[in-house]
This record gives sequence, C-alpha cells and structure tokens, in this order.
Amino acid sequence: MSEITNLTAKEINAGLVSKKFKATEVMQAFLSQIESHDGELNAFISLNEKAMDQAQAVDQKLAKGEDIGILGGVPVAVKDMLCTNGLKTTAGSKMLENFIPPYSATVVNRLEKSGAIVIGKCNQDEFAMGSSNETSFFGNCKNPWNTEFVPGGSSGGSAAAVAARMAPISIGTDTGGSIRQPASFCGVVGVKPTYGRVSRYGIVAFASSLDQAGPLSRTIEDSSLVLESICGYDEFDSTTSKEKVESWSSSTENVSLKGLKVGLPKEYFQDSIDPDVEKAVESAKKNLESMGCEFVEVSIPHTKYSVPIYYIIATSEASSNLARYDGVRFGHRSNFSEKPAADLLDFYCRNRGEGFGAEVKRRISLGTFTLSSGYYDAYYNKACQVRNLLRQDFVSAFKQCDVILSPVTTTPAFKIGERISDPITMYKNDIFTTSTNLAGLPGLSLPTSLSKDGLPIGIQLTASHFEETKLLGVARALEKMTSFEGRPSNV
Amino acid sequence: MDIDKVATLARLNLTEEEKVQFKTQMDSILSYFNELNEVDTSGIEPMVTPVEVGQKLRDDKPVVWENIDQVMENAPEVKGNLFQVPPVV
Amino acid sequence: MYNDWEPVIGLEIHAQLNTESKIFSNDSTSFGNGDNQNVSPVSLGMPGALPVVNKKVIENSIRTGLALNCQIRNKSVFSRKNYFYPDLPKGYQISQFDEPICEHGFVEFNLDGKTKRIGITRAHMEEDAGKSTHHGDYTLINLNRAGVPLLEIVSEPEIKTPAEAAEYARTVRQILRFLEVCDGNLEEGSLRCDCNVSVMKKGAKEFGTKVEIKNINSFRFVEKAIEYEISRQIEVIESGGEIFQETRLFDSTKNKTYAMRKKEQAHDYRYFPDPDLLPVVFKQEWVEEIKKSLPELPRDMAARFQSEYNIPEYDALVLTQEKELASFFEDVAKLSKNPKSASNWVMVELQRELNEQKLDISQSPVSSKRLAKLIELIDTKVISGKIAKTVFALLLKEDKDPDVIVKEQGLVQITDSGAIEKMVDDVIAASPNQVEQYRGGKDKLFGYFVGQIMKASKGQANPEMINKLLKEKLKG
Repeated sequence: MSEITNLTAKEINAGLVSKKFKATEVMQAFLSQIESHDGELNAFISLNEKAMDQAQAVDQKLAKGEDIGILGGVPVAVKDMLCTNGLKTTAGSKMLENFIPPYSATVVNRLEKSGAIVIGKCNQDEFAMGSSNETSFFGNCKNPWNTEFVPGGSSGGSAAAVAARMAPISIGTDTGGSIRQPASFCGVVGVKPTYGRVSRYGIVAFASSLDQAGPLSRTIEDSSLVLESICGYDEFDSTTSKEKVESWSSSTENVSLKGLKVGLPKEYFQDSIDPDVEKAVESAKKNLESMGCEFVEVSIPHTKYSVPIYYIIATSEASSNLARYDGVRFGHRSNFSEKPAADLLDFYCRNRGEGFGAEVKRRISLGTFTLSSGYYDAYYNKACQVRNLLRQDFVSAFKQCDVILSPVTTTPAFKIGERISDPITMYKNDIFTTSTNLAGLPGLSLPTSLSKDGLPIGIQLTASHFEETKLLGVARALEKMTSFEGRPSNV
Repeated sequence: MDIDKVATLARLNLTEEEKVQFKTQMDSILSYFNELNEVDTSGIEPMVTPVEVGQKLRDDKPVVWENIDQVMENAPEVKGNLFQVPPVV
Repeated sequence: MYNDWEPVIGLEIHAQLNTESKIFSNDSTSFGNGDNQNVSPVSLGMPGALPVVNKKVIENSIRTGLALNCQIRNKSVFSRKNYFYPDLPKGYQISQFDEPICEHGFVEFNLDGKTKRIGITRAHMEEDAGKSTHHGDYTLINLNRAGVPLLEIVSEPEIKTPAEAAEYARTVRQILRFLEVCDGNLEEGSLRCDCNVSVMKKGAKEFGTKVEIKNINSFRFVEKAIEYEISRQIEVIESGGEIFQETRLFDSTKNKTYAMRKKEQAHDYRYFPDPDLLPVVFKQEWVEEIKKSLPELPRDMAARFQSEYNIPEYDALVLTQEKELASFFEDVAKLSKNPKSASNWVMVELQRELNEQKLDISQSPVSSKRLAKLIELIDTKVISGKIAKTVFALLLKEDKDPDVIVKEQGLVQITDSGAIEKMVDDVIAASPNQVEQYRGGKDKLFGYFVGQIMKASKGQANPEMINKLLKEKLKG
C-alpha cells in the first residue's frame, strides 16, 4: 500500500483507468497513512467520513466503463478555508469550531466534478493569518521533515499532508505566500495562480484583493492538472477572469527554454539571505542556464515596501471581511445564559473576543485602525498607491524577462515557537512572496534542495499576469534537472 | 493609537494583557508602516484590486436556495426560522 | 415666516428598485414569503459568499439618474460601509461612497403657482438591511429584505419650507413611478424619506447643526415632522440651548419628533472600495440607449396635455400625477375627441368614485373606452349631460357598454320636435293658472314648465328644444 501513497495524482488516475488498483484501495492507502502519521503531524482538522463511499462510487463508474474525470478517484486534501458542503469548515478558528457549511466553494465543486475526492480538511493558521501554523486553534501542524520545525503557513496542513504522503494533492490559499512558503518548507510544489484565475466563492475570505487558492503537489504536472480543474470564470465571483484555461498538464511538457529570459531582481538579493537558500537559487540559475535561459538583472524598486503595503491592505480588508463573524447567524456565541449581555456592544465584543485568537485580533485591530477616520489616507490609501507603483515595477520588469527567479523565503523552516512572539520579524519573512499577491501575479515554489539541517528549500518563479503556461513550463523543465528527493525519511 | 477605541470599533473584547501587548506591537508595526511615507505618491491612483477588467453583471433572475434548514442548524439561537439575539432597543 | 430664522432642509429618499432578484445575489425580492426564505449564502453573509451585481439595478439607476437630470458616471465604485448591527449580516453594507452612479441633477415642480427647482446632489446604489423585530427580552432577525436594491437619492440642502420638502418628495416619487423603477409605497417601506433639518440666522453663511428625522411614512408627515422640527430647533436655540447632531423619529400620533436612544458608539464607517466588486464600468452607448427608452416624464407630459388637448395647467398637472391616470385620460380624450370633457369626467366623476371605493385607476370599474363612448353619446346629443350621470352610475355597476345601457333603459334623448311639441302643449293645457301668471309677468315660472315637461319625458327630452318650443308657445 505504501507504493500507492507514493504515486502522483496523474499516476493514480491512470492506474485506476487501467484497473491496476481500485479507488477504494487508493483511498484506504491514504487513510492508513493519515492514521499512522497524522497523530504526530496534525495536518488535518477533520476527515471526510464519506470519502470511502465516494471512492466506491468511482469504482462503480469504472466498472461500468464511464469516464471518471482527469482527477477521478484521486484523494485531495483541502485547506479548512474552503467551504465543503456538509463537512465541517473551521478556518482554523474557534469561531467556526462547529460550522458546517450548506454549500461548497466553487473550487471544491470543480475538483469533485473532475472526479477528485476530498479526503479531509487541512490544518492552517487561524483565518490564514500566520506563516507557521502556530495560530491554529486546533494546535500546531508539524513539519514532516522534522517535527520540531514549523510546516510554514498558512497552508501548513496542506503542505505537510502532501509531503507526508497523506494525500497526493492538496488545495491551499495564498494571500501573501501562504501556499508557496509552506510548500518550500515542506519540500513540495505550490502554485499561486494569477489573481482572478480561481474563484474565491465559498473560500473564507482573509483579504479579498490578495486571496487566491491553488494546488500543492509533488510534481508540476499534478499541480497543472489541478489548475486545469479549478481555474476559470465563475459567475459567483465577479473578480474571476474569462482568460482561457489551458491543458497545462500536457502543454507544459517539454517546453524549450532556449532564449527564454529569466529576471533576477537586484533588490531581492540585498537582504540577509540564508546561505543554503542562496545556494538553492544559484543552482537553479545554473540549471536554467544549461537549458539555454538567459539571465537579466531587473529592478523592482518598491520591493522594500511590499511588506508594509501587504500588511496594511491585508489587515484593512480582513477587518471588514471578518466582521460577519458576530455570533448572530453562525459561529461562536458566548455563554449568555450564564452571564447575560449588558447590551449589544457587549454581545458582539464577547462573541468576537472569545471566538478569535490573538493573531486574528491583532490583525483585525490593525486593519480597523488603518481604515479609521483620520488614518485612511495615511495608511490604507497610501498603501494602495504604493501597491500600484509596485505593480508597475513588475510590468516594466516583465518587458525585459519572461519569468523572475527568486528565493521563496530568506530562510528554511524555523523552529516551532521561535518567532511567534515577534510579529514584525514574522511579517518581514514574507518579503519575497507578498509582492506577487500585491501585483496579482502567478507564482510558484519548486523544491530544489535540502539545507544543511536536512530541511527542504524551494525556489520561487514568478511570471506576468495570466502567463501560467510559461511559468509551469519553466518550472517543469527545471524540475527535471533537479535531483530533489522529495520524501521525508520518517514517513 | 488608542487601543480601547480600536477594540470597541472592531467589537473585540481584549484582556488587559492583550491590550498592553497589542498596543506595544501595533505602535511598532505602525511606525514600520510609516516607511511608506518615503514614497512620493502624488497623482498615483490607488490600486484596489489587481483585476483591470470591469464588472461582470448578472441577469435579474431569482433562484430559490433550498438549504435554509442547514443554515438554521448552524445558528447559535433561533426562534422558528428567525435568528435570535439579545434585545437591541 | 420664522422671524429671522431660516430653515435648511435636505431630503434623503431611499427608493427600493423594482427587480425580481436582489442587488448582489439571486434571491427573490418578492414580498410576503416565509421567514428567511428569500436568502442564500450571499445575503446571509456566510463565509466565502461573494456579491455579484444585478444588471437591472444598474439599468434602473441609470434610468432614474437620467430622469432626475443627473450626470451618469460611466465608472462608479461600490464601497463598504462598516458597522455592526444584527440585521446587517456581513458587518458592512455595500453602498457607494465617493463615486456614486448619479450626480448633479435636479427636479422641478410647481408650488403656489411658481416653478421650483431643487438640486440633487447624488443618487447611489446600495443594499437594504434585514428586519429586526423586538420582543422585550429578545430580538428576532429576518433577512428576507437583506440585499434588496435601494437607490438613495440625496437632495441639495436647499429646500426652504416644509411644504416644499413634501412637494419635492412627491415629485421624486412621481418620477420613480413614471419610470416604473419603484412602486413608491411609503407604508410598505419601498420608499423611505429621511429629512435633514437645521436652522440658521437669516443670511448666515454657515448652516446650523443638522438633525436627521427618520420613520416618516407619508408626505403629509414629511411636512409636519419638518414643521415641528424647525420650531423645536428655533425654540431650543432661542432659549439658550444647543442642537445636537442626532437622529430623531417622528411620532405621527403626537405630531412630534423625539430623539432616539443615545447611540452607544460614535460612528466611524471606515468606507473603502469593496475589493469583491470591481468598479461598474459601462459604455456611454448604454446610457444613450436607456435615454432613448425613457418614457415621457410627468412635467413634459403635463405641458403636452396643455398644448395638445388645450386643457388648463391645473388639469394637466392633476392628470399627470400618476402615469396610469394620464394614459387613461389620453385614451378617453382620443377616443371621445373631446379632451376638455374627458378631463372633467376623469378628474371629477371618475376620481370621486375611485376615491370612495379606494381604488386605483388601474382598477377603474369603467374602462376608458366606455367613458369615451359616454362622452360621445353626450356630444352627439343621444343623451343629455344629466342623463349621462345616470348612465355613468349604471356603468359602475354593470359590465355593459354605455350605448347598450342607454338603449336598454330607454334613455335616448327625445329630439323629435313633434313629440316635444305635444308634451309642451299638454303641459300648457294642464296648467292654465300658471300660464296666466307667466303671461302676467312672472318669468320665474318658466322653470316650472321645463320641469313639468322633463318629468313627462322622464328627463329624456332635449332641453334646448324644450326651451325653444316652450318660449314660442307661452308667448301665445
């Protein structure tokens, strides 16, 4: 059975179609892997009790010779930010501890339409606010490579689940690096598509103008497959694009990189970067050069402002997006039978004060302040203006190059508890990932090497808006050249 | 920054400890944010969202959504098919 | 009027736009469905639910803006107005802030024989909140209304009197109803009218502190509430007090405004552009297309009625108060070819009947076709004006054409001079005393003879012919 859990989504789907194994066997294999390892890793908040039944339905389809879809029979782990009809969706928060949505996110509907089966819901930072998974109400998820380390965040559970072979593919959400950073920390592929590629309908909103869901997997091919399934216009999300969705799993195979221009933003290599991370970028550069890529220095002058812009915009939007968690229609309500509400203000303050954890309260407070009367222009509006300048930086840079190569983070995974008490340091670690979201660009993290401590390191590739084909093509070629052994030894 | 005012505006009960901690952290975060003042943004449009195309409009056709029962099951307190809250007048 | 004080009045009219579905979700807007039945994740503010704009709302807003002489923004922005209230599911209301769809318009109306123009600052789209009902120790929330589309029409603060305010509001309602974008029902809340009132010393440059009055459900009360509020403010200031910026409610039974319980918190709505909704951008062609499809508006229609039908301004204004009434009148005028008479019948006889029966013109028991026929019967002298009233009364009860009624009831006017002459002769023969007195100079008795002849003819004899023959015969 351990063999099955080592297969990619593509291989599982092919194996099912060629009747090498059954969907129920596949599901059982992954459930057993979860059973053996998730006690320690805590990558899942809940499991789908109907997963085996759904696998059986796939087997029945196969028996009748019916089409099972491009992800038919493939288990998918879904971050707990995505609503799943009838299956608890918590966003990693006490606020939604018992919330069972009566609808599914468009992403979940599309995955299911492609035949994928939701195996369970992944642990995450509370409301995706964090980069270490330490803010989850359901306890820290751990890094499968070394359980003393964080898996990254906020999609830590999604990254850990794939790294630990508890699911071949997973879905995360990325607001400022929340897919790419944990992918890098856990040694898996993570893709944040262009803003507007993937519907946000039914995904718990953190920061509306930045949030974008995307796949985590062990190969670029699998992520491409997932993207084919989830991307595209959705009538329930006004911000989705009608841009063509390609068959990336096939179109990105064997792309020639000859003459392709790769940009290295000079501002990205000024901060203190961990030598292992620097080495990873250097070796990716060599590999790309060997395939015929040309390297050009580009400039993103507003890089140093990306973290402040990001935190102002993200917290401002979040302060409003999280206002709906008030304990009126769903979510946590304080025990008023024990101690009645003094007034309406008390009703709200208690529900929200108890339901949200410290980091969420800190960010809501920050965002409330940056939008408040007298401060709006200095913070929110100013940040939006600089955001525009940052976007223009990228537009200019992409006139000189096809993709940008950079680190994902300044360091590999850090130890649990190491940074939680220092929000600014934690925030500053997002320097390379936040600008992608601010500009709305597609980006991905590809695992390339291990640090001297045996922790995975990924490199980041970023492309221009809607240039996923190019982005995935380059990544796939680079993946072939990279000798990354993607399996943590203890799982 | 007046943490009490912000907490009230955001409808959050904070413990005294949280207030002290948040105030210190937020003051330093805000001064970090003030780095933005170095940038001359006169005449620059604020960018609200990365999407540049205009709004896609929906046709005016009502659709009945049938899962209201599950919504009421999620609700902390209901009376009939209505949400119940403490008196607000 | 108010000694040396000058009131400053501005109105905010919230009009519920007539659409089948809500502004940001496809829930039905139909009235009277069960509790929380017109809802979905979007209107319930469930996690991850997103707004999608209803095209009809934009279209109706443009229509209204054009009719209110506004400039239409080809790019307008939805913003979030953040505040907590149990019937506001998302914790923010999606509204428009600094880039509303309509700006800089005006309406005109007649008041005391003069044309008055009131500026419109803006008209913006927003979603309605739900409904809270209070039951002592708890409150219940129904979200059927949450997300119903509203257009908030804000006047310039240049209304000078309570009567002007009421007339302004009536005019806006009239236009909305002509456009068929809002049914304008104040009692059901599909039209809500909030009044901002302040007073200042005559000629002062700066406005006084304004007070907002809510909860007014008729135009008559708009006038009364403002009237009360002006006097109250003047009184407070003159007695050395101070006016606070606050919201007051109008109590129509006591004819007074009173302050709402003090708000717990000062408002800071933290408006910012809604990142879930891109700016609403449309081509000028769409606006032009809508402009072409605009119906004739009340004031244009009234002017046309005056010139085309040669009826007095007063009649034209009354007849154009409601679109259906105007079109009813036009049908009658055209079919009967007698606009003046059509106007009289519609405004007097029919209106009285409708008022009595509390009916709308669309429910009129007499169709325009039948009323026109009735006028035609008078004009062709088939019946007299007096008989026509009898026929009209019968039309209200019976589903028959007027000529059928006239025939069945034998109400046709007698115009046969031989028959009338015989009746005249009979009456003269039967009243020798009166004849003698008349001939002796008692002219007033003429009416007596007419009455007798009318009686004999059951009112059907042509009065002109009676007059003529009677005069000749009485001369002897």
